[in-house]
Amino acid sequence: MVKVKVLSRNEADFTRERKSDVVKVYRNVDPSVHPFEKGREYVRALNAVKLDRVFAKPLVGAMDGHRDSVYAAAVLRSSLIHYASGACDGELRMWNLAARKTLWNVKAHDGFVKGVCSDAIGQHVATCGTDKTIKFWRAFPYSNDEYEDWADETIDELEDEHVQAQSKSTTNAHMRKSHLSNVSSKLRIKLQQKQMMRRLSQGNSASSSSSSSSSSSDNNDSNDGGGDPPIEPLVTWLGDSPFTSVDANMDTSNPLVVSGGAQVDLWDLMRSEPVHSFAWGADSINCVRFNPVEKQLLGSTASDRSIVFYDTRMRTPVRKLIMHMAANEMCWNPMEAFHFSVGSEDHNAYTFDMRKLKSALNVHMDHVAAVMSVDYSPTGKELVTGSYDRTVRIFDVQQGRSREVYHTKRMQRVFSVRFSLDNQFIMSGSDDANVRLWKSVAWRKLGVITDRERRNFNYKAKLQKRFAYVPEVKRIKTFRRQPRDVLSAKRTKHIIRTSRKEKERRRRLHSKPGAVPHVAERRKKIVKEQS
Amino acid sequence: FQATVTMYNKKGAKVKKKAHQRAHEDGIGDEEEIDLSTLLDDVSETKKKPRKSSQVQNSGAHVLAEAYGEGEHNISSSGQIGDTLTAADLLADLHTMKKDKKVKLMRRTERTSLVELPQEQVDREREERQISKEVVDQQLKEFEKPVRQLQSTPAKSFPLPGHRPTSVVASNLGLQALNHEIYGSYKGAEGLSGIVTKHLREAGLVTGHENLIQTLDGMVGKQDFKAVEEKLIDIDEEELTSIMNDMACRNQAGLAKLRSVMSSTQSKLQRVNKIKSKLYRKIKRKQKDRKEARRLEELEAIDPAAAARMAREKERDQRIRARTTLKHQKKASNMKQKKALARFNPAYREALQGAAERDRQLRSKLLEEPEESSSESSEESDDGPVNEDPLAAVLTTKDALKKELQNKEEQGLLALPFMKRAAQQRQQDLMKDVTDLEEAITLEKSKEFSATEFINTSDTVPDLGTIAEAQGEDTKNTRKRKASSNADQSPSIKPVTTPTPKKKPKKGVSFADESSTTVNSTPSTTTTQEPPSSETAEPSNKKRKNKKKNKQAQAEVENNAVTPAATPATQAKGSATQPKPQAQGNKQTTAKPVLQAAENEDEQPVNPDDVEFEMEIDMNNNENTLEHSDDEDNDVQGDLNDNEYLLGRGLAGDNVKDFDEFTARKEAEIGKDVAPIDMSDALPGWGEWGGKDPKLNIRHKEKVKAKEDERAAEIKKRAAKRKDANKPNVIINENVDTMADRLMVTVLPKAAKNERQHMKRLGTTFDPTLNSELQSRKVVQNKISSLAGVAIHPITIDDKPAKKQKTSRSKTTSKSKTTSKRK
Repeated sequence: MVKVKVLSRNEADFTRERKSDVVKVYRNVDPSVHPFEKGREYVRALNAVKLDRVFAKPLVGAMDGHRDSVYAAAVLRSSLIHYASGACDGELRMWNLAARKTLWNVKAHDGFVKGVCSDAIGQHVATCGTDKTIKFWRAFPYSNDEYEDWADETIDELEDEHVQAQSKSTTNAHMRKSHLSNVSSKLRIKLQQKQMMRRLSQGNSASSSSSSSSSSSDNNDSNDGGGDPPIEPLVTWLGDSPFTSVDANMDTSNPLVVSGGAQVDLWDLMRSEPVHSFAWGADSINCVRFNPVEKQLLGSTASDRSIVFYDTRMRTPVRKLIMHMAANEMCWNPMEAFHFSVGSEDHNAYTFDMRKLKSALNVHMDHVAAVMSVDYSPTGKELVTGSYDRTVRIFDVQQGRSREVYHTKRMQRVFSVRFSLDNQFIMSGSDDANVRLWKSVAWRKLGVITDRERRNFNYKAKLQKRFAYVPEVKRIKTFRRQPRDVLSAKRTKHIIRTSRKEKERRRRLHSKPGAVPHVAERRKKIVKEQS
Repeated sequence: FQATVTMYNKKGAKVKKKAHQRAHEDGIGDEEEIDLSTLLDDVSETKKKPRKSSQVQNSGAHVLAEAYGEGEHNISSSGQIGDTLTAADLLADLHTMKKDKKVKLMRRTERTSLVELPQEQVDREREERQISKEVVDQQLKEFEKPVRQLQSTPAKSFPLPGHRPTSVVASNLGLQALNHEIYGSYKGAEGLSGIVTKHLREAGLVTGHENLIQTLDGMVGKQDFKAVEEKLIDIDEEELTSIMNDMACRNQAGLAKLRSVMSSTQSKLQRVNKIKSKLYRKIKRKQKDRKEARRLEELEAIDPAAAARMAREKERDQRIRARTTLKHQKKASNMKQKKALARFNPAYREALQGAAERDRQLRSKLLEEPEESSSESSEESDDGPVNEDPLAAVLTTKDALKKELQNKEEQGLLALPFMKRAAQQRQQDLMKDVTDLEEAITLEKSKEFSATEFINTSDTVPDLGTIAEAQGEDTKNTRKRKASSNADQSPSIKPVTTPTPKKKPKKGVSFADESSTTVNSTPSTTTTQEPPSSETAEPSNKKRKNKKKNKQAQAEVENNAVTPAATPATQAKGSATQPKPQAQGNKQTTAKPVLQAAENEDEQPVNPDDVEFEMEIDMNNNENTLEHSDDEDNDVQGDLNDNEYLLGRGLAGDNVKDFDEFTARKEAEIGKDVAPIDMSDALPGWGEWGGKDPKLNIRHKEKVKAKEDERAAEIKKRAAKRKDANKPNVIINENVDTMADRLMVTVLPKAAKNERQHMKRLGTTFDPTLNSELQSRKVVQNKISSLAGVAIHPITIDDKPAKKQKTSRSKTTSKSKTTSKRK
């Protein structure tokens, strides 16, 4: 009797009894039977890289409205769509990024608006200017029917969500807790906003006759029919000298505003005089920033090439670092509290660990002009820089070279760059009086992404990472078109660098051993550390 | 005729001036554009307007006259039309006629249109004038500066500034007394002076000094001798100054003349050089061509048939000229065309290769022979007896060679196997050559004997075709030899009667030295003409001499061809058997190699075109290969430090000479990519219906040819696009895949510690189809993920990272551990 083997499958083996049952897949996963798997994945990686370049459309839109260079900007900590920007003509504008329109604008200062910041709850905006004043503004001064409706709906949704979150029996206690806190914080904010708007609308109806000349005509979307209500600062502080920078701390229980000018001043909302003033050296401060995590810590950069750290609990500055060239702006890593970055006049950005200031953690160099502004992504993994060379660059914190460069024909010198709080967008304010909205990942798809899509994106990203060192993939991934002047400047810089290196090498060669020591690039630009 | 022309010119100049003024007033053109002859016509027209019809007739007359011969058309070639005067008339009358008549005639010429000069002549003259003017202007421009400098230099004139010529009278100290005596006895106008004046007056000679004499007389009368003396000194000085001035003027004039002569001579020389220059000839030729074309156009307007006929005739002339001179075949374009043809047509290629081979042999002979003869002369002088038997000498050489081969032991680099192999091969070649030579000499001996008999008996006419062919060969070869750098020996040095064997041992071999002795020891009776010693002594003058000699040789051959006085056998034998004048001896010998070559080729005439073509190919070979003969020049005795020698030895075994094979391989390489010809629809019948080798009619042949052409064109097109298109000695493989390079990671990435780790990472697959779903999700999960619309707030002290859940496996292991501990 001859045995004949036939293909036969039992239906029961392939029928799920429950929904959660996993269907058995007959597949041989032995790598030896898939010899071309690596090649296949390489091709996929290559295609993925190419597709990324194809879909790279980073500019979402440019928002015009300012009449002069946009010099300072801040992201509101309460909202993803609101963005405040200050111009050189003293104008302050609040933007709705989703609609790409101005919510309101006001002539905040006589002269430059040198600094803009949001408070911890994201309900207020502080500005400082060359007119020796610091002003504290409401972020949402107007009531709006539509806005109110929208707020109502959102609040309803959030409430539902909150209820669901409470009742949801998730296994992960931490996730549930975080979700709950997230929803509740949103709800709280929305409720506050709603209350504020109601209050404002009542107040406006009472004093509708006194309209302010400072409000602009193009904020129709945020006004009642009865005319523009006056926008007045909640608080105004007068200083002895022009202010160059302002920041608010993240401590909601003890809100403080810090300003930089001739010295670093700490302001309390309830007092008209600075609570405390710090000074170390007699030069003007370029930038002051509170640490978002260590809320009492703040740092400043000054035009005397120094970076100074202060503790609000102490009477004197803590530490001082002197570099070869002055830093224009600094920012703290929101996820690693002891790391900070500065944008320097020497065309580079430097990342430091504030515990070890003798050496930078990393030198980010690609710009060909002074770095005017720098900001961390909320994940703390990336850094965005705006430069005088009219480009915006995105750096990986651990990399020395930029992963992306954004530029347009019309964009002029960039004075302010900010990451959005959801890590999706970058806002830049430039000399051409425009605020531009960019995607943080140029090829990222906007809108709703299904789970399957996300998995596919993740897979492609992983493949790219895996084959990142293969020359062809690397070439396509790193190539970026750049303006001609930037390229030529880059070439010149390269020549200068190489010739300097060569000179140093020769000098070392013809000197006594050890007389010309090797100095790492990270240490080169640091002059001194004082404490 | 010249006189009339001059007259025209004179008149023309006047008229030209007027016309120029007129043109200037009208704002038309400038002087250079105005034509003299047309202006003459214009003047006549202004004074007397001729009929339009006659004008048209006149204008077309010269063209028609040129197109048709005299009598074919109703036009007189003398050119007298209507009232016009001919130059001949004027010439005839001009010398004989009286002045009044001349004036009358002149007036008449002014009124009437003077002479209908042939337009061709007018054009030619005008062009010549223009060309010469341009050329001279250009040349003079160069001399303008020095001439100007020369003119500006101060000329030496007399009296020199600051120099006062001393009076003869004053300088003579004793003269004062003498004068006193003379003047003292002076009688005045009535005395001697009166008589002298009278006589001079009568002769009509003295006129200017009357007053002076009178004053002098008066002074003498007053006894004022001092005043007289002063006066005389003044006069003397005056005279001298005038004489000096005259001399200076004459000198100046002479100098100016000299300068002008120099300048004109220089300009003339320049002009002559210019006329001899290629550029000038080219310009001239182009102008001529243009003129002819213009004339043809004019003629076409008048009589198209005649124009066509003229064009045909011209074409025919050109064709005839091309055929007679074969000039067109010497052009590079022709060579290219032939090369291209040879590339795609195998039959043609073979034919060309055959011709090339023949040419190579001829050339090698031409180049080798003189060397041998020169060495022969030296050998003769050294060895003394030249009447040695060549056969015996060859045998001696053979023995010596054998002995040498046996004794030869290589050392060092030369002992390497491939070196040995190469040397062995070469030695075999040499042996073969010697054997061939031996046979050849034996054969020659027998031939010589028969030839002597033949000379005595026969008086046949030599084969003109062969001689002419030989002449052609000779000219070609000599030309080539001039071009080649190795051609430092003239063919006249070649020994006459030695029959050239197909291969000969090369010069310079140590063990072949004796053979060369033998080879060169041809009977002295055969070589009557010694090669001139200057040829070997002065290589720089050789080319020129060769050229001259070649010309002479050519002339000689021509003479021979025209007056066949000698039989080919006698020519081959040379002047030894048939003594000739010394002057012709050299010439005779120069023609020999060619004749011999023709004989060697079994009396087949060599197509000069083929030879030319193959020469080019051969030159390529020379460029791209190591010549075998080169390394043979420096043989075993060569310096071991000499790289060329070593290379030659090393590569001796390789057949790098075969360049055609390489070319064929390259073509095949290109042809690989092109699809082979599908003959199914070109041949008769479908598939096998037509048989194995079907008979093709014209239509089918055309189809096949068209297909072949198409394929050839395709190959050519692809060949032109290749990277090695302009590199004849290189084949670049374009099918090499460079993908591997793009995949290779040359530097270890920073992320990996070592190569193994890197490779492991590369080898780990994330493919969802080869992983479980959960695993693949986990693997591809981003470490940092952010959702759009969800704000990420700064980290707080409460944001502790979630603890890792213990898996079931870890739980079990921990349990087991604990249990084990408990135990």
